[in-house]
Order: sequence, then structure tokens, then C-alpha cells
Amino acid sequence: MKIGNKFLRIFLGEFLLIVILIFTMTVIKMVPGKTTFEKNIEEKLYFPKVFEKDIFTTNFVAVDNNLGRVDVLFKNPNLESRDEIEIVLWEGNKTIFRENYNAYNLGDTSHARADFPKISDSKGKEFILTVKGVKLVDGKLAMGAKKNEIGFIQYYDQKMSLISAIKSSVNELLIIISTQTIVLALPMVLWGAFLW
Amino acid sequence: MKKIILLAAVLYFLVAPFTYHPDTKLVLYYPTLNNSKVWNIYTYLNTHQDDAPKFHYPPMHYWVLKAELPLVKLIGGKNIVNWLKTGGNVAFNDPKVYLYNLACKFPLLILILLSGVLIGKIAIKNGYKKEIALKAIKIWLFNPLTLYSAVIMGQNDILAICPFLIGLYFYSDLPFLAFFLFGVSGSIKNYPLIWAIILALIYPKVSWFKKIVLGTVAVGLYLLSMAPFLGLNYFREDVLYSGLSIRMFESVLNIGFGEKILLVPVLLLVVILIAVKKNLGRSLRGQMSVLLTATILILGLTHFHPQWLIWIMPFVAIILAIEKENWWFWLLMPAVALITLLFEDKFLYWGLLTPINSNLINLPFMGQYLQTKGVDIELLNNLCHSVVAGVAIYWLWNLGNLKHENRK
Repeated sequence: MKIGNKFLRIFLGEFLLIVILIFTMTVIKMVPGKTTFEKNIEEKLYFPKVFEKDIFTTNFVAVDNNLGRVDVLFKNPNLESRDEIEIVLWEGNKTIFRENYNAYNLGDTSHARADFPKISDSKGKEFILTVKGVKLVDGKLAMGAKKNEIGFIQYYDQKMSLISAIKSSVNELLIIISTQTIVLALPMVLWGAFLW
Repeated sequence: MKKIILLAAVLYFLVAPFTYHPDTKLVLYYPTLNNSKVWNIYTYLNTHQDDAPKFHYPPMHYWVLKAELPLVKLIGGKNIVNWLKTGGNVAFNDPKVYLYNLACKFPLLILILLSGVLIGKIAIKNGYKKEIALKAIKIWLFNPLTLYSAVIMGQNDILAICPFLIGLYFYSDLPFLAFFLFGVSGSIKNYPLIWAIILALIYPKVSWFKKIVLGTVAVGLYLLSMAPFLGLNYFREDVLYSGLSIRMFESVLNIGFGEKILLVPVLLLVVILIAVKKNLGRSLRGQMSVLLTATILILGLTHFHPQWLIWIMPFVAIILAIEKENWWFWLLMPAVALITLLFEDKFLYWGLLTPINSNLINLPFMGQYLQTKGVDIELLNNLCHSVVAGVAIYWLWNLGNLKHENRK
């Protein structure tokens, strides 16, 4: 094969490699995922008994749109407790979520998961989360708390559009080329050698 | 052969930087402790405060990781040491995660490629045609288990597999060197020691005395590498009696009065008896079948981690290259894939892609998702394990019916 043809083949091959990489990254970036946010994340965690107070209340402002889940931390020591609690999420007077949980379904530190229809315009809105004991059986169930507030994690649905995902993939590859050159250079050199 | 290796290298070096598993990072964290001055990792972790889990592998494994570290630092730069210290659940957020992934996996990828070359050389040395050798290399390099376990996850089982394959290359003509290398391999991860014992017992045309001497070379080296640590209680707890080491004794048959029959050792004994009786050690086909049967029986009857399936692949590659019959392998793959997806470990599926999309880590376990769709995941998982166990039993039966081939 002529040298010129070889270079053309390598050029097209390398181009194809980059296209495949951008396509793959775009598809992966478009998979819907979730970001999390935890209020008071740096604060010390402790576990007050759920029946110590009538009700635990925490206010929070959503940091993003598409709030669709909160996970509240509990501790069921040695999995012995059968207490029952209620978790409620409010937006003003509107109830977003309300459900009872039996400690039987909670681990020795595990989260009670509260899923609700995602709130597409949640960013900046204020919500109120409450936890209260509704059936005292043994009083052993404890709740994760930080700074006198409920210990919980907020989940926001994330989904990239095709255009955003392509842009993000291209940008990321450019950053890789400029800051971590060997990551792309190595397979590209090897691919060139293969095509030669 | 060069073209195949080159193509595999392109694929590996393209995929590896973009996929992440915390274990790849964790194992390389240990040799960085105390400015890389720690040689006895067991004493260090048991006498110093450190959040890392205890080190459950033999000392040789740690020393190999120490030997790897300079190369990892050379590729990843000096800041990689700080990255190795970060938590497994957040390390993928580092902007340089691609470079660090590449650096951590680089030695492993080289060993996988080298193992491919060795598999081809072993086939040719045992009289098989070049086409068969090339087919075996292709199967080893491009099968889903090698790609998943070694390239995507970056599991370091290859550290033990590669020296074992070098030993296998010398098995027929330089047995003492071969068993020395089997000992090295078994000292890095324990399971090749089982292979070494089996290969010693089925070694062809030698007396039982020599067979025992050969086995002693491998086992002796293993014990020698651990000798300085055997007196330490925490070493015995962390390594010898760890969950990983004794897992193969958990499948049992109760025979009353508190006594049990340990199923895996029983079946391994059956494998050895069949192999000795049929003199299966005299051909590569026989050796590979024995090692495959033993390994798949261990995996089929224990709670295995999906990445461990790579243990069977050197033998499978050679067997599939020689034989046309491969349906059992393709029966195994979906079962292993489902077991993987049902694990309560996001880093076995979603988490692997977090360098590209970090939000994936907050998706639920695949099992949780399937449960919401009404799938009985416990039953599904048990069925998949039963398929693996079924294929393992099939191989035991197959071993009993194996005829020595003359065609090469």
C-alpha cells in the first residue's frame, strides 16, 4: 500500500476512534441519574431515640430542580425494634409525601426511603420534613440527627439532553487532551500502529 | 499474533481510563502507607489507626503491589498518592480520574496482554497449530470475563494468573521451575495453589515421590513467604481464616451429630482421582480440563464475586480453541451476568461508569429496581447460581468421559 494511502487510513481510523468515544460518552451521560445533597454534611452525627420528642422537624431549601426522593437515616440497634414512625414532607401546607414505616424494615443504621413524584421546579423552594413516632412498641428505634436537625439526604433527578451530552463529552475530551494527554495519546498511537 | 495483541492493547487502553472500581485504588493505597516505608502491612494496620479495611491477601501480594507502585506513580504523577487516599465513593469525582485509572490499571493491562502471548506459546509448545494458538489468544483477550474483570474493573487476579501461566509454559520440560512459579503465583493469591497441587498429582510419567516433591516446591514456597508472619494472631485472622480463604468450605452436607461433609473438597478429590486414574496430566487438553473443572466447581459451589470468573479463562481459552463445542460457556455467561447485576454493589455495574457520569452512583441497586417490577430476585439469583453449579457438575461428568486426543 502506498504511504499516502496508509496515512489516509490512519487519519480516518483515528477520526473514527474519537467519534466512537464521543458517541459512547454521550450515551452514558444521557443515562438518567441522580445527584445528592446532604444538609449539615460536615456536622457530627448522633442518634436520638425517636420517642424522645413528639415530633422532629427540619426545614430545607431545595438546591436543584427535580427533587424526587429523600432518605432519612435511622438506627435499629441489633435489629430488635418494632416501633413505628411516620415521615411527612410538606411544601407549605401541601403534603408531598406521607408514609408509616415499621422498624422491622430498618437496619442497624439504614435509610428509610421516601419516593414521591419529582418536583420539576423545586430549586429554591422551601420544604419541611417531619419524623414522629406513631406506635411505641419498645422505644429502641433511633434517628440520625445533625445539629438538632433530621439526618437525611436529598435526591435530584438529572437527565442531560442530547446536545448538552455531546457538548459535555467533547469538552471533557478536550480537557483530557490538555491535562491528561497520555490517556488519549496511548490508545491513539497504538491504533495508528495497528492501522499502519 | 502482533496484530491481535495490538488490537487488544488499543481496546484495553481506550476502555480502562474511563471505567472505575474502588478496589483498584484501594489495593494500591496500602503500599503508600507511611510514605511507602511499610513492609509488614499486617502489623502496621493492626497497630495504627487507619480507615482502610484489613489486608486479606498473602504477603507476596503486598510486595508485588509495592513493586507496582513506582510505575503507577510514573504514569499518574506524584498527586496520585493523594488520590489513592480519597474515599472510594468520591474518588471518581476527581478531574484527573482518567489518568489515575490508567495509571492504576497499566501494570495489570500489560500482564493481561502478556498472558495472551503465554497462552499462545503454551498451545504451540504442546504441538497445536498456529491457528489454534491464535484462536486461544483471541478468546483470552476478547472474552467478556477478561474485559469485565481485568480491563473494566481492574481486578488484580492477573498478578497471580500471569506467573502461573509462565509456570505452565515450563510444566512439561522444566518441572521444578514450573512449580517454583506456581508457588510464586499461589503466594500472591491462594487459589493457584490448588491448581499447583492438582498439577503435581497428575504430573505424567514420574513416581509418586517426585509428584509429592513437585507439589512441595509450590506449597513450600507459599509457606516460606508467610513464615515470618505466621506467629501473628492478626495475620492468621486477616489472611488464613478470612472470609475469602474459607469460603470454599461453606457448602456442606450435614451427616448428623454435628458433622458435615464439605462439598467443594469432596468434589476436588473426585476431580483429582479421575485425573490420576485417566492420566490426564499427559496432554494439555487433559490438564486444562482438570484445572477448569476444579476451578468452576469451587466457583459454582461458593458465593463468588463475579470478577473471580477470570480464573477459569486461561483454561477455557485453550479448551474452546481446541474444541468446537462451546454451548456450555454461552450458558454460563448470562447466568454470571445476572448474578453480577443482582449484587448489592453498584460498582459492579452503574458505578463502573461514574468517571463519565457521576450521577449514576445514586441510582438504586439493579435488584431493587427489578423488585419494583415484581421480580423475585432471590429466586432469580439462586437459579443463576444453580446454572453455574450445573455447568460445573457437567464438567465433572465431562472429565470422566474425556478421551485423549491424538489430533493436534
